[in-house]
Amino acid sequence: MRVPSLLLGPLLALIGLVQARSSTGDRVLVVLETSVKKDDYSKFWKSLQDRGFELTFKEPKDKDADLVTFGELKYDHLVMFAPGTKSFSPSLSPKSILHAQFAGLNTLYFLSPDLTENNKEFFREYDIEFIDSSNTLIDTFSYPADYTPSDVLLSPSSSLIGNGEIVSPSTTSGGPIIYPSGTVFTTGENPYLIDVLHASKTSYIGQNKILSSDEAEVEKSVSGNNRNSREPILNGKKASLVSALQTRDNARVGFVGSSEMVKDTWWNKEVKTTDGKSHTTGNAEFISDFSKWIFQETGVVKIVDSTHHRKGESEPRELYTKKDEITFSLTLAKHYTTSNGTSAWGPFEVEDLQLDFTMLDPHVRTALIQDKSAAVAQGTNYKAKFIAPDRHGVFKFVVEYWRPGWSYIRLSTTASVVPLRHDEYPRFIVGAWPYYVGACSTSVTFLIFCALWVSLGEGDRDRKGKKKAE
Amino acid sequence: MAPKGKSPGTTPSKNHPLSTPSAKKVIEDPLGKSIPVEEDELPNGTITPKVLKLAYPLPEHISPTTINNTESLLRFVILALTCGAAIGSRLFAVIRFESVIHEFDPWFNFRASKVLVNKGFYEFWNWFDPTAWYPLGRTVGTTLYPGLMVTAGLIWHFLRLINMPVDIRNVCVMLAPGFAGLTAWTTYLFTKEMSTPAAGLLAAAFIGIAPGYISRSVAGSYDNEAIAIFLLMAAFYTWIKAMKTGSALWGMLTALFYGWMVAAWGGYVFITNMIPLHAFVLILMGRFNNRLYTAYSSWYVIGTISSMQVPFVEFLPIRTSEHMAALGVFGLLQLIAFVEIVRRLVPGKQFQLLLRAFVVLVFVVSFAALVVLTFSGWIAPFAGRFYSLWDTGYAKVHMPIIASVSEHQPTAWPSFFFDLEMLIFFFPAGVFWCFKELRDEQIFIIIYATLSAYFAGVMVRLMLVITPVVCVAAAIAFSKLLEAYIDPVIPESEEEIEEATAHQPMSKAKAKKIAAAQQNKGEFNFTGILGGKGNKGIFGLDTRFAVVSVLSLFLFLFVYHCTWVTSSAYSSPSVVLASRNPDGSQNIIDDFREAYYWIRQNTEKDAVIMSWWDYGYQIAGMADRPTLVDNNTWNNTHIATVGKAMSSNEDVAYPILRKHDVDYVLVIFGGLLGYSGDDINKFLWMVRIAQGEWPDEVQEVNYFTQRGEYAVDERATPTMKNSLMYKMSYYRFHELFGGHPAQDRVRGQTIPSTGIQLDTLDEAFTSENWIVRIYKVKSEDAIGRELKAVSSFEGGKKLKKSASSSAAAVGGKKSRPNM
Repeated sequence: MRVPSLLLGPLLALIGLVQARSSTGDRVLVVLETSVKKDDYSKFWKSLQDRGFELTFKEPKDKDADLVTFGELKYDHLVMFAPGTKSFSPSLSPKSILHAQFAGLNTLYFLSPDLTENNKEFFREYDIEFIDSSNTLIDTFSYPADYTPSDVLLSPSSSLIGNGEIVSPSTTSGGPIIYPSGTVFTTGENPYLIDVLHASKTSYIGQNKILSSDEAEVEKSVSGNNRNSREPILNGKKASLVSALQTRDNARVGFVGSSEMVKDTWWNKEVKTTDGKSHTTGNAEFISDFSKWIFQETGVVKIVDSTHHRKGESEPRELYTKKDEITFSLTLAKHYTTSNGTSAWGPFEVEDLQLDFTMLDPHVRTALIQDKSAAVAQGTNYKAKFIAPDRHGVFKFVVEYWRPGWSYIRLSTTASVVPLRHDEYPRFIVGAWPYYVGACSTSVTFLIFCALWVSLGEGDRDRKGKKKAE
Repeated sequence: MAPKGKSPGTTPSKNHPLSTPSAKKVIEDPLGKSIPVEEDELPNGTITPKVLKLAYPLPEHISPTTINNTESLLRFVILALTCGAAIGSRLFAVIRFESVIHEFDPWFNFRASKVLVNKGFYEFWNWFDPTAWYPLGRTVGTTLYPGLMVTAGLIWHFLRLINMPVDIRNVCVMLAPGFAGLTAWTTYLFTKEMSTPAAGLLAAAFIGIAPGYISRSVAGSYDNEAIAIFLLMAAFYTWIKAMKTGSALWGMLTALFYGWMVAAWGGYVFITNMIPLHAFVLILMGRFNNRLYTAYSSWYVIGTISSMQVPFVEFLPIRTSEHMAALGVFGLLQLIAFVEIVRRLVPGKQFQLLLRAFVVLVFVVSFAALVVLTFSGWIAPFAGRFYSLWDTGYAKVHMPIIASVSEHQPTAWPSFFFDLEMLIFFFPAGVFWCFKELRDEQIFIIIYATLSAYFAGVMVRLMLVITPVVCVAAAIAFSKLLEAYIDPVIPESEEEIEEATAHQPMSKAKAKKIAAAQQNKGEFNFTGILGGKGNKGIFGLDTRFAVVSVLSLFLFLFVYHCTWVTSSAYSSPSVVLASRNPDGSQNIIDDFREAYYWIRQNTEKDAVIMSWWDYGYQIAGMADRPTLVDNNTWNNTHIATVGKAMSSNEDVAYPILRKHDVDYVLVIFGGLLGYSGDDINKFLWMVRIAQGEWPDEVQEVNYFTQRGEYAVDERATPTMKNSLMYKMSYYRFHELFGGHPAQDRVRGQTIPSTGIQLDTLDEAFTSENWIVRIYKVKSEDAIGRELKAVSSFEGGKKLKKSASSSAAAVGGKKSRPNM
C-alpha cells in the first residue's frame, strides 16, 4: 500500500521537499491536555515537523479526535501529552487507543508525576507500575547547578540502553540527559517491553520539597509504622524512566516518564554539573532518537520476499517428497534514512538468522546464510538448504527473528511433505533379486511341468480313466 | 436374467423327500409378490403316475414343458420384482429429504470419489490429504479400502460412456440401493444351492427388505458395507459352486469376488476365515475330496494375490494372525492331497499310519513355527479390534476410542427383533434343516450361522453380517413349511397301506395318533413332515388352510414391519434432521449444513477447525477445511490431544490449540432442541480417551459429582464447569431464557444462570437451533497480556496491580511467548 510513496520518496527528495522518513506514514496526532502550553515544547514540534511529520493538535476531550475511521487508521502516530487528564473522550479512551495500537498506531506517551489514577490503571495493561503520584526521582548527587535535585542529570553511557537501533551511539556517548521532575515506573516481565533509560545508582524516589520539622516528625512516625511494608525500593536499573514496547504486530509504544524532558528549556541547553563542568544536554538527541524509533524510522525490517523450491526447480511447491533437497530463501530489507532526508530500503545483514522446518516440533533447524550471489536491489538475501525429513505431514517454514530494537520478523509458510509416489520407488534393487528369481523360476518350472505333463500324460490314459472312475 | 438352476423338483432327490414339483411352484408366487395368497388356481401340472389323493383339485393336462417355462418366467419376474422392492424401499431418504450423502463416513467416501473421478486413479492412489489430521496429514490413497470409490468411479465412467452424464453425487447416493438389488439376486443363487429355488426366492425377498441390511444401505449411505454384502454373498455363492463342482473356474471367481471384497471392506477377514473354516470342518468330517482341494487351492492362491494388490492390505495376508488360518488350511490341504495320492499308490496299513503321523507332525510343526514367528514379531499378533470380539470389556479398558463408537457396543436383544423381525425365529429352524441334511454346502450355513450369531451379539455393527445367513436360513425353514402345507398330496396312512382300504382322508387327530404310536416304536423319529418320510404329510384341507394363512400373516407383518422400520429408523441422513410441527407437518432442521457452509463462506481457506472426531469427515466434506481429527481414528494420541483440549480448562487448552494452529473450534450442542447425540453426551469419552494418554492430568472422576452423577447443572464439579467443552456448550445459553431457568432439554437439568466467561475463544457462529456452535480462537495479545486480563479489560475492569507485580508474588516468571 505504501510502496508507491516509498518509490516516490527519493524522487521528491531530489526536488527538495521535506520527506517523511517513517516507514509507515507521517500523520501524527498530538493530544495536549489543557494545562500544557504548546509553545513550551516548540522545539520538539519543530524537530518532528523537520522530519516530515504532519502534526495535528487535539485536546483529550475533543470529540472529533478519532483514531480510526471506517476501520482505517486516521493517524499513523500518536503523541499523548495528557498525564493529568482524568477522563478522555471516547475516541481517545484507553480502549480505543489500545485497539488502534493493535491496528498499527505508534504511540509516544509523555508522563509526569501528576499521573492520574485512570492513566496508571491503563498503563498497568502494558505491565507497567508507577510510583505514587507527587513523588519524583531525586538525585542529590547529580543535578545541574542552580537547579533542584529533582532535575536529575543522568549519564547516557551508564543509564541508556546499549541498543544501537533505539538510541544511536552518538547519543550514548553524548551529553548528559536531564530528567526533570519525572516519575518512575517499573517494567514488569512482559517480554515485549524494552527498558531504554533507567535511573542512576545514587538516585531515589521522594517528594521534591523541603520538609518543615513538624512534617518531618509526622513523616518519621508514619514511615516508622510502614517499616515492614514490602514496598520495593526502586533504584538503579529497576527504576525505569523511559521504556518502549513493541507489540506482536510491530506497532511501537514509548513511555517517557518526564514530559519536561522535551521542554524547550532543556533542548540543547548548556548545564553545569555540580562539579562545575559545563555540558550541552543530550535531551534533544535522545528524544530525537527515541521518537525516530517509535515512529518507525529506525530499527524497521521487513520481509521483502520468501520462497522455497526443490533442487533443480525454481517455483515453490505445495508438496515436497520425503528426502527432497529443499532450498528456502528469504529477502529482508531494512529501512534507512539518508542524511538528505530521504528514506529507502537497504540491506539488512545479520549472522544469527535461522529457519525451522516445523510440524508440531521443529524437524529441521538450520542457519539462514546470507547469499551474496543473489542480486537483490533493496535488501539482503538469505538461503538455507536442507533435506526434507523422512516424515510426511504438513510442515511450516518458520523464521522467527526477535531482537530488541528490530521489528519482529515472523514468517510461516506451509508446505506438505508426502511419501514417494507409487512409481517413484527405486526399482530393480539388489535386495529384490531373490524375489525376481523366485517368481521367474516358479513360472519356468510350472511351464516345464505342464509340458512334461502334457507330453507324458498321453501314455497315462488308462490310469487317468481309472482315476475318474474312482 | 433369472438363472435357471437345475431344478431339483423335476427329479426329487432323496434329500428332498417332500418337495414335489407342485409344491414348489405354488410357493413361488407368495414370495415374489411378498403377499401370499391362496394358490388353488395356480397352474400345476403334476402328472401323477399312480392315483394320489389330493387335498384340492389340480388342473390337468398341462405339459411338463409348460410347467418348466412358467416356472422360469415366474422366477424371473419374482426376482425382478424383489430387486425392485429392495431398491424402492431404500429410497425413503431421498424422497423425504433430498439426494444427499448421509452420516459421517460416507462423506469421506464421497470426497474420495470426487478426487477419483476428477483427478484420475493414479492421483487418487497417491493422494496425500494435508487437510486431514492436521498437521500430520493422511496418505489417503494407501490407507483406505478403495473398492467402493473405484466401483462408483467405474459406474460413473460407464454412464458417461453411454452418454449419460450423471453427477458423481447421484452415483454415490444410488450405489447402495443398486447393490442391494444385486445382493437379493446373489442371495437367491446362494440359497438355491442350499435348498430349493423356492427358498432362494424367499431369501431374496427377505434380504431385500430386512432392516438389518437396509440400515447400512439406504440411498445416500455411501459406505463400504453398501457393496460389501453383495460381494460377501457373491463370494460365498461362488465358493459353494466351486466346492460343489470342483471347478477351478468357480474357484477363481470366488477369488475375484474376494479380491473385490478385500478392496472394499475391512470385514473381508470374515470371508478369509469362513472359507478355511468350512474346508477345515469338511476335512475333519472326512469329506475331503478333489473338488474341495481344487476349489480351495484356486481360491486361496488367486484370492491372496489379488488381495495383496490393494495398497492398504499389501503384505497383511502373510504377516498377520487373522490370515494365518487360511494359510494353514491351504497347507493342510496340500498335505492331505499328497497323502491321498501316496496312499492310493502305496498300499499297506503301516505306511498309511506313518503318513497320518506325518500329516499330524507337519501340522504341529508348522503351527509351532507360526507361534514362534508371532512371538518374534514377524507375524503381527491379532489386532485389538479382534480381541474386542472375544472380550467385550477389552475395548473399554484398552481402546476407549473403539469402545466409544456406538456401533461397537454389544447388541441389545430387542435390536435382533427390530432388525430381523420374524426371521430371527425361523433362523434356528433353518439351521436345523441344514443339520438334518448336512450336505457339504449346508455345513457352510451352519458354520456361518454360528459364527455370525456370536459376532452379531458382540457388536451392533456386525448385525449386518448375520442378516444374510438369517435370511437364508429363515427362507429355508419357511419354504419347508410352506412346501409341506401347500402340497396337495394326501399321504396314505400306515393303516391304509396295510389295509389298502382307504376311502376317506384321515382326520388330524388320527394322524397324530399314528405319529405318536410311531414315535414310541424305537429310536427317536420326527413325526409328520419333520419325519421326512414319504408317507407322512398333511391330512385335510383345514390344517393346510390354517397354517398357510398364519404364515401368510407372518409375511404380511414382516413386510409391514420392515417398511415401518426402514421409514422411521433407518432413513434419516443425520446430516439433516426432521421433526414434526404441532400440526403434523415436517420441520427440517438443517443446522449442520448451515454451519458447515458458514465455515466454507466465512473462514480462510486454510483455517484449521478443531472438533470431536465424529465431525471430521463432515467438515472436510462440506466445509472443505482442515481438521485435527476425523472418523479415520488411526492416531489415538492426536484424538486424545483434542480430548484433552476439550476437557481441560482454558489455561491448559489454549497452548494446545495454538500449537496445533487451531483457528476455530466446533461443538455440537443439543441442549436447546433436545438433540441427544451432542458433544456433552459424548464428553465422557473425550475425557476417557484423554485420560488414557495423560492419566495425571485428566481424570474421569473429576467430572462426576460426589454422588457419582454426571451433572451439568449447579451440582457440576468445578472441573466440569471449567472445561472448554462445558463452556463452549453453555456459553450465553441462559440468555435465551430471559431470566427464566435455562433448561437443557437433553439432560433435563437446569443450567446455572451465572454467565460463562470465555477468555481464549470468541463466539463466531451459532446455528439456528444452536446445534452447531463455532468459536474462534483468539491470537495472543499483541502487548503480551494474559487473555484473561484482556477480556477483563475489555469488560471494563481496571487493574489495581500490574500483571508482573501480582505474578511476582507467586514467583511466576514469564517466558518468551510463542510467536
